[in-house]
Amino acid sequence: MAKLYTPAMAAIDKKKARLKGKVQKSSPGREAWKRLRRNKLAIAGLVILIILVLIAVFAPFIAPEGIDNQVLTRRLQPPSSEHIMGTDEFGRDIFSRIIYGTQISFPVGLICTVIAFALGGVLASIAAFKGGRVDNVIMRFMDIFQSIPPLLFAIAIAASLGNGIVNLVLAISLSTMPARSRVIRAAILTVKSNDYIESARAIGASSTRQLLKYMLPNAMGPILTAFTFSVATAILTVSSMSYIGLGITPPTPEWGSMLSSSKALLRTAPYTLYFPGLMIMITVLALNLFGDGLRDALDPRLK
Amino acid sequence: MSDKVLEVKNLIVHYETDDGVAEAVNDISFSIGAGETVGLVGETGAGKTTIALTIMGLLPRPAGHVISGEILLDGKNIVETSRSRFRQRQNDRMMRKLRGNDISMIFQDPMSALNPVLPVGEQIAEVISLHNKVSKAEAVKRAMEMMELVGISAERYKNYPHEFSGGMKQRIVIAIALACNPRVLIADEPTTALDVTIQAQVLQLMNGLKQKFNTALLMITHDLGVVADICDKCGVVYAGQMVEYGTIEHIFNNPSHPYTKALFNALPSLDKDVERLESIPGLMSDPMALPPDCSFRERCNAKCDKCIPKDPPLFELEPGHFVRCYHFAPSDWEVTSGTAGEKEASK
Amino acid sequence: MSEILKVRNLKKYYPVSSGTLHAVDDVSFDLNYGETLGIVGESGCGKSTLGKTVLRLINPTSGEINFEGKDITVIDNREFTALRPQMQMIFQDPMSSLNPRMSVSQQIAEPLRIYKVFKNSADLEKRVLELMDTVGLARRYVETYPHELDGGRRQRIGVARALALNPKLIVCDEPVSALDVLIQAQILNLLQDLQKERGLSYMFITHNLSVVKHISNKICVMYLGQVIEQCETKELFNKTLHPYTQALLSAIPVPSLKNRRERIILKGELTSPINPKDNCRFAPRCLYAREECFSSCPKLQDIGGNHQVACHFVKEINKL
Repeated sequence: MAKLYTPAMAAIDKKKARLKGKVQKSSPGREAWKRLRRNKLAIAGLVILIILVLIAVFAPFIAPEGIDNQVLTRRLQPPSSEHIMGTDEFGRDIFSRIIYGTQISFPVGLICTVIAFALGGVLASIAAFKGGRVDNVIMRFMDIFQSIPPLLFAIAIAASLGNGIVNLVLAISLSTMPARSRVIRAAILTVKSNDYIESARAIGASSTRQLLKYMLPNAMGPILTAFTFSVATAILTVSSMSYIGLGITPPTPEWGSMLSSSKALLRTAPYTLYFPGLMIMITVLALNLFGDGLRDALDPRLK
Repeated sequence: MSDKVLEVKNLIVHYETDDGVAEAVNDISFSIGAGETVGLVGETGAGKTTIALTIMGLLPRPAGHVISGEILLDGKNIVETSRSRFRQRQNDRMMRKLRGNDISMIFQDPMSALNPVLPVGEQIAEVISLHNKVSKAEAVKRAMEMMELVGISAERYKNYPHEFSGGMKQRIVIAIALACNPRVLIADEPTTALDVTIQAQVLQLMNGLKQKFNTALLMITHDLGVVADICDKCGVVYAGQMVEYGTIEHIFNNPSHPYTKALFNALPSLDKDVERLESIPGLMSDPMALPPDCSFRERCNAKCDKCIPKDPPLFELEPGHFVRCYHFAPSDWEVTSGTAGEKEASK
Repeated sequence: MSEILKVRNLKKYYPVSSGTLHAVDDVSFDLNYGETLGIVGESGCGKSTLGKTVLRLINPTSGEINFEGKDITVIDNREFTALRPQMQMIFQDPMSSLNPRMSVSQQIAEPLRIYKVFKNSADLEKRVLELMDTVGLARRYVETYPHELDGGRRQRIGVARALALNPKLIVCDEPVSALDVLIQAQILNLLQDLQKERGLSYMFITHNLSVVKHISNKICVMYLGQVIEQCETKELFNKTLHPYTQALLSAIPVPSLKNRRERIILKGELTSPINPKDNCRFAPRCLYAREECFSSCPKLQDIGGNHQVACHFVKEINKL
């Protein structure tokens, strides 16, 4: 008969007992972060975004000059060790203007998106939660809004209310709001059919509680992803509007308006276009990479 | 050539993920003869479905790996343990020809197994023309015959899957699986999604067809009742291992492994009245952290000092009845001899 | 008064594109204090709708639901909110019925927070831990999330949540169908222990006849929205009268090689409960169906011993 291995057995039991006391703890949010960390492109996007934010915060320390330091003696100098991005037709240092530009494009894009999501979110939540006729009325209203091309709509608002950052933000927020509210409504409707909503009703949760504690947190994944992409779109729209002269006007160093004022110099001093264009591209690309990664990480197919 | 149509020998399958290695299947052996039915019972996560997917060559890549072992179809090995891309692609190509023709599988959910935008008859005909050199008309004719065979009127050839109820859909899945008269049919929980009265119909149908076509049937289920109904032999799977294997008479009349006994005791019975169900505490070991000793020992109510800190081999309790438990070690069995005392269940 | 729940002529119809779906059609039953009523039937027979209607998660089309002598279909929302803690529910799939973004302690505390049972959080925490002990959840899981737990533990959270407000009635909607047999046995034992300790009444909805036999005192067998047989559990299994119940019973695969039953294989499948005609709904599949079965719907009739069957020819078929 087999020999007895009692001491070894005891050691195994001890180890098992130790392992048994340990419980893995990890909230769905932390799990998503773990997945996001594995995605190199998304992390690259995130790093770029953080750098851009830091640049915006510390702009006065980074930029060698102010935004409107016109020195007519050094007009249209190509990039050199002194002016690494060259100077524009008024002799301003492009590098400084680009640095200060982060203080404009990024926050304006963000604010537009926040307003669009907040407004759209409230309407979408009501529509999705109430359903039936309320849903119908709200969504048909959105349909009408959405049938106007967003850029045209923004142009109309800017044209009737005049130029300026506030009007620009208003125009972009309102014109993108219907599309954003659709995303939120769809996300809530998906979550609404889950059993845990019914179980919340069974323990007597009020409508507001069901919406705030059960539906919205679980619908956050697709909403967050859409949010990131929307910031990118908003930045592009801000730049486009400024480019056609309806958004932020010079001398504010908005990248789109910088592009606009340099368009005549395309042949003589192309570098005046390169750098603002490049910055728009990098920002939007970083946001999109991060958004893609976020979507994969927040995939609802949780274990 | 032997009369064993399908033989699985010492199969070990791992899933390699970022979080670690899951030892899903650890040393499984069994064999099925023509017209014979072998049942595999066990809890969720015991590795039953992994066994089926490995036989079908459908292990999810890149995580799933066959570490070692053989799967013999009519004596020919069909599993690739090499990690070479070339060898694996070669194996894939071979498996594509075998699947649907020599080996078929029925999945648990009939809805997701059917293409929703193709009429059901055409889905059957497609399998037939894929594996046989027949004319379109001949394939259609044979598809209609298959439909009649599973109890669906051939007039419904042009109907789409959503026009059928759950039980009818499962019949169509069976018709597709049997269309090319496969040597081996693997059924993974084929009736779990169905109601009992429909389950009875489908089981009766499968039993009849199996005898008609002389197919080797591997029945994967969690329901001991289904096993008693249509199986000839049965294996109880726990943490990726066969803990007990034998004919259904062995398993049902003389369940010997403590886990098998626990399974029977936990079932509410229709014939007996019991105040309280017997249940054992705890959970199946995590396949990512299997213990070095008997994987059931922690939950076992019959553990004693015979249990040594080594994974027990299968012991032959009576001819053809194997149990993976030290209680059944023959008196001359020496632990130092390692696997010398072990006999494969397939013998 | 010995009945906690008295349901009379309960109906729930849904308008669908092709007519009216009779999900629950004229169902009546009683449930006594401290007892378990089993509701058995196949998918689509309306048993889940019935359970949810009893808790007013779905508003009935007509009929009475008397909970402790009060008809809850007519009282207003405020009055019902006050009653709600006394009637709770346990759901089938513990994964989908728990909010994935709440930890175990939050899940269990949720009903207590909603009803503002405790003023300070220390008391609340104490009660949550107490409840975890009651349902056999180790305290170390207090901060874990549902996706990290197995099915059995998740269902224990569901039970703890249902118990939190000290209910008198719990509607269990297939509470063990998604679980493996060993875990199923643990949960069934837990439910029975809780019933004994706290005098709970259960309405136990399931498709599994062996489970319902184990746990119930009385059983209602449903077919397409109607109750077709209703009696004490022992009586039902000793004297199965309705041809559908007989077929259902014989179709269960028995995990034993001895005393195998003679199989009754029914033809066809469930017909649809949309715009049903006035006939016996089981007639198209019934082995004994005659002309009369297709022309009039049989009523539940008492054939003695509190055993009610809805079949025109129950006496002939069973040679009573």
